[in-house]
Amino acid sequence: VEASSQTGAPTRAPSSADEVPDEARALRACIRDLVSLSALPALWSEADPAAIVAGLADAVLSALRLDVAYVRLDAANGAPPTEVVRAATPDGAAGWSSLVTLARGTDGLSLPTTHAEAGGVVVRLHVARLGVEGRTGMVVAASARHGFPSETDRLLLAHAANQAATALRGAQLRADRARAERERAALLDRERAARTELETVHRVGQVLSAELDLRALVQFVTDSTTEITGAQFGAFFYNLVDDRGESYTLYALSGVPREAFSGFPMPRNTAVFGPTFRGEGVVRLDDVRAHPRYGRNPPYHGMPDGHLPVVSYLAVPVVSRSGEVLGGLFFGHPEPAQFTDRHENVVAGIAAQTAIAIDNARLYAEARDAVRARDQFLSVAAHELKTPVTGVKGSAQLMARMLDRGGLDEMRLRRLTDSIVSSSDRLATLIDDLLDVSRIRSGQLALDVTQTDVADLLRRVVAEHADRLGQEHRIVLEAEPGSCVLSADPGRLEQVAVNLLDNAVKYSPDGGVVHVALTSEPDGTWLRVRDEGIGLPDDALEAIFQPFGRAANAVTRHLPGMGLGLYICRNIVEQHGGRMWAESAGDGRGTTFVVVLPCGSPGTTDGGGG
Amino acid sequence: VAEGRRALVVEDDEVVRGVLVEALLFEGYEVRAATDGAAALATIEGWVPHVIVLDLMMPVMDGWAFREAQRQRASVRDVPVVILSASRDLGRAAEALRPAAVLAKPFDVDALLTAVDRCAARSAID
Repeated sequence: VEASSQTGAPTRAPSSADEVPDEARALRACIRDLVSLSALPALWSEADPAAIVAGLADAVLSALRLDVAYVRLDAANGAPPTEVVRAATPDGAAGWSSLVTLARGTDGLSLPTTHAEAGGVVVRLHVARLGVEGRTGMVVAASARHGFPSETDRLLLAHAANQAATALRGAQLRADRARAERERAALLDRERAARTELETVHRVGQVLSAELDLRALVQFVTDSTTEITGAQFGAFFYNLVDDRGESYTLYALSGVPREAFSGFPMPRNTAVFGPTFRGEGVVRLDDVRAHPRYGRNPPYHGMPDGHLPVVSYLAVPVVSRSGEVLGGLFFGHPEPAQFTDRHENVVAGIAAQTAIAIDNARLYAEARDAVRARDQFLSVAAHELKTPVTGVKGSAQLMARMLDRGGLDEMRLRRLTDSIVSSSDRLATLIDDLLDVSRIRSGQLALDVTQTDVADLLRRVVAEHADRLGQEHRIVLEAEPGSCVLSADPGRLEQVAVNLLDNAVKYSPDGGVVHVALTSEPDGTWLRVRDEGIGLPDDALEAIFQPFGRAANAVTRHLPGMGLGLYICRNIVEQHGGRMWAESAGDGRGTTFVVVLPCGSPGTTDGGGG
Repeated sequence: VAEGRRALVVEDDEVVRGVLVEALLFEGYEVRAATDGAAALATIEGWVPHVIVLDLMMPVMDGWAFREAQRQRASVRDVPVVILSASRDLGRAAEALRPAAVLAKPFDVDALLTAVDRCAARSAID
């Protein structure tokens, strides 16, 4: 059939009505129109509603030999409205503007059956609804053709609208399924990521819980987190500042050699780093250079020359159970926006485990040091106690031997009993020291307080001590005249003075002068005991005040001592409200012990206090 | 047995040194005493003892360093040494110094004198 090959051409095929009976002709036209519409099922596989709507318009325009086909799918579920106008005239819909306006303004129910366009053309209208679930739509068919709309036309339009609705439903289903698929995949991705995070945190946690060496622990954490985040470089800084209180202590680096940090100062307490060390949470910046906190600080106002090129920045504080900020993990990458939520979560999880592990490692180190100190103490104490026991036992056995052989004369007896007495005194002192330490540790070192002239007491102790010295040592006392009265335990203060004088002599094995100075200063009375002995290495200045703490140079020289005296002395001085410390220019260069007692200027205390 | 025999005591603790000197004098030794290894080396410069009683843990120069220096000197190399140590562990370590005897503190005076006598009697020193 000639007309069947035409698509969308509005011109009518020449009729051969004279030769063909009406019924047959109608049937033939119907078949031809159906064949035209048979293109519609091809739209079933179409995913785009706009394409289906356009296909429907084209098909009905052609099959029903319309002048204008208008198809509209209303907006629904976030999908925009779709509208297509097809016209049989060569210039398209341009000549049908008033009809299109009419169609746009209706839901189809109130549409008139005829319409006269501005050009004088009159068309008859027929509407079919586009029934799609949850979405309304309609097809307006307009034709000037005689007999339009016939029953066949109505059926065909309804059929075409059904086909289009089927295609739209299919598109809708496919879209829904695709969206569900995407959501499921995203969910799976998130779940997989979460599982990977958990596994990573768990794996790192397992290693961490078994690691008691602080250095190895921190390096492992830095390496693991740098790898997990894909950072170009990672670092762990302890929350410990240097002497000037400015820079944090670098502990571990990953991704770059340590020398990369050598050319410029460590991170400082600046606006960028500060929040991490104050434990204010994770800082993640896609571009640190664009951040308002960046570049505020002199002298560099940004990264100094030679700094690692950090653009993406991630910083996670490591906070202990007690809330103390132990340090921070820092990551950098030269490209922007490299760190994600996921990285942040994983590192935060590992940081929490790291804090626990660091706590454990510290506790372990403390316990280990305590055991070591105890072992060392036992060995030192045994040696210290054995020496006077040797004196007592040897003297007694020798007396017995002399007695057996009739040689125990008065001189020998005197010397040996003196030895027994002095050894016993020494034993008693050692035992007192041990008991004092025990009392201090249990907070029970009680002072027997009375009004005491400390200046007077010191002068007496120095004088008594000077009498007992051998010829290698000499004591020089420079004391300001006057008194220094305070509520004090005279016995305990004498213990401090005697201990300092004993030490000055003991730690000057080659002899020398011990200078004792007593002066009044604005903050109290200062006692300085200076010797010319073996001195103190820097690291011993404080260590010697710890229980059983002894300077390395005293131990290597086998100078006797348990390392308890100074610990006890400082405790006594502090109980009197005073301070005590050691000064030394180093090994072999003498030591000065300083005791400050808060008793005002000698000679003026009485006037003030009464 | 000790008549005319010389003994050197090297011990930093005053009381223990006094007891050792008193005991050896009583036995008839000619005794000199030093408070550390360096002083002991100075003492044996012109005075060679038959036996040395040596403490190990002393300031300035300890027993190990003294023994090292002693063995470098031909005149005193063969003088036997009785070592006094503060612990059994140290006594075992002291065996490396090839002493004639090792006694742990607190020592028995009788045992010490027996050891010293034996050394002095066998001593090759005139």
